[in-house]
Amino acid sequence: MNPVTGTPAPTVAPHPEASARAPRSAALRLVPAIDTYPRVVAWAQTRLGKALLLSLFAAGLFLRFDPRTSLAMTAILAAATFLPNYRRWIVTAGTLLWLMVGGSWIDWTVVQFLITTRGLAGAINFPLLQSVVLVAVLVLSAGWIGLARRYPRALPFRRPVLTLTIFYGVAVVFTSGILIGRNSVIAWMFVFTLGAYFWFLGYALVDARARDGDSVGLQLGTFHPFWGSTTTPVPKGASYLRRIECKDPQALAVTQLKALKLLAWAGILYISSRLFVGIAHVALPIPSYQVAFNSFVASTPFPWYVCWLALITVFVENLLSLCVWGHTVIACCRMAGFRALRNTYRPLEARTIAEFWNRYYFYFKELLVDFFFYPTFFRWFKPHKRLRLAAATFMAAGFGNMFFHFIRDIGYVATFGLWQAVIRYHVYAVYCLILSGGIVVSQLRNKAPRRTARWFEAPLFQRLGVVLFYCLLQVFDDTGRSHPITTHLAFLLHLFHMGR
Amino acid sequence: MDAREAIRAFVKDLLASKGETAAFEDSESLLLNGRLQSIDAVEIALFLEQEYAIDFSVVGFDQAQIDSVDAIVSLVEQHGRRIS
Repeated sequence: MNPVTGTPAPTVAPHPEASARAPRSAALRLVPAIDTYPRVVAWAQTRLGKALLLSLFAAGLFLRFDPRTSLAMTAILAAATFLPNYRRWIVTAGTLLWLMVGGSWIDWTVVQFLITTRGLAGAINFPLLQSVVLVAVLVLSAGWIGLARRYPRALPFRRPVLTLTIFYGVAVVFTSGILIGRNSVIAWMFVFTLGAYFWFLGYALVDARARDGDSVGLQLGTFHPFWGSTTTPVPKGASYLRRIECKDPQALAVTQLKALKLLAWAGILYISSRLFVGIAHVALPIPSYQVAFNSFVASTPFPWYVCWLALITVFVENLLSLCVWGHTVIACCRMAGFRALRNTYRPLEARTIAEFWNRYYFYFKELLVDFFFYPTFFRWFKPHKRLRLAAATFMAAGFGNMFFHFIRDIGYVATFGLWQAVIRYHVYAVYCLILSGGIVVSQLRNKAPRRTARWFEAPLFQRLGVVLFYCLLQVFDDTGRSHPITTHLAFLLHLFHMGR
Repeated sequence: MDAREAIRAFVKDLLASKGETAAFEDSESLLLNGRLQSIDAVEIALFLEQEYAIDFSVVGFDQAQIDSVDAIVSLVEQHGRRIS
């Protein structure tokens, strides 16, 4: 309990940069802490040092990605390194270049399915429409941000994300219920594209109200920046980038050395991930989780203990793949000169459910906190401290989580219709309910862990309990809308050798 | 105890509750560098609500406002009044 505010103590441990302060003298380091060596930091500030650092980073990229991608990334990073005064504009130019060279990052599978099933293959020039719609959404976003900057007190811009949500909701209803044929497909392309950029635009609109907010041009550079993102902006929006941008050569050198370390670590995890998959599914006959679940649905289930192995295996695979992806993105972001925190940081060290959630996918959690937790916490239930915390957590990890994934998977509305898409979403709704309930209980139980230097000093069962919770939660982590909740519950019972 | 001292003591306690005992400067970023998390930002906001009557539903909440002791002091000077 906090002695001053009287609220439950936080159950979240410090993030990575903090750990960088505390030397892990006894820890075995696979990647040397080169960012703490004064001579290396000094050398990394010279032209030769920067060039060599970039070359090493580029070599790491070439080992993982195709030459075209690696070359384009290296060119942008080199520009950001040698022209630090223009860094933010280089990010914007790099992002637009990436979009033009790399193509759209949006998944168009559902649109192509619509075109085929509606017999419109000959009537629609898909590549041309893709570009037109993309430009239209970016122009709309630029205009929207521009208006929000100019009239921050106007009604639609006082609660900009609410306005955006209403606009998007109307677009979805209009597209799914009114339009037909070719117009419907074009409208869906607009809805998909706007949905993909929804949270990028959300961050930009919030920043547009700030006195020191970025210009429209700089804001567009944060719309799925060249270093990568999903529909979750990594690392957040323009406001955050301004605050984490390296302000002097020494900060840049340290950040770029950390970038190189992180890329190396991502490479090690990538190899580990491939080895793990090989051992689990080739050397050992463990089925993938999807195969185990589908076999259960088809009434030919694997034994319960094999299902457990499949569940644990997919948990580890997801964790490794998120680490590899997130570390690579953050490494590129750091190399561009931004002191971004890692997306995933030692999740298996978490001793509470809330702490794991914070460590697992940091920028997704931050999105939910920024757009759902804080607004709820500072507006509602003010006299009731615990209720206030619980309500805000439910709004973020529960409602916000559901809302985020509904927009991300808006293609299901095009496929099933709005009503069916909502009804079939109930499995993920249960997932969000359990997750947010777990986080609330974890926060209110006030089991704040004392941070220790060595992981084994803490009770192992706490960590195992957290991992077990998230492992079992995966049974409901299904946004596919193919099976009802009863099937998922039956599979859960099967894991405990119960039920059919 | 003046506002700066009180805020500094609170932040120090908050860091200590997480096992963070390293010294920190008043100008040092605490949230951006990962020493404190978003849930800790809530703790700081609650402290400011209770001790200085800052209403974030009116002022608006941004983590940047409470990222360092200096930033918090500046916020209190602009919007706060001592109530205890």
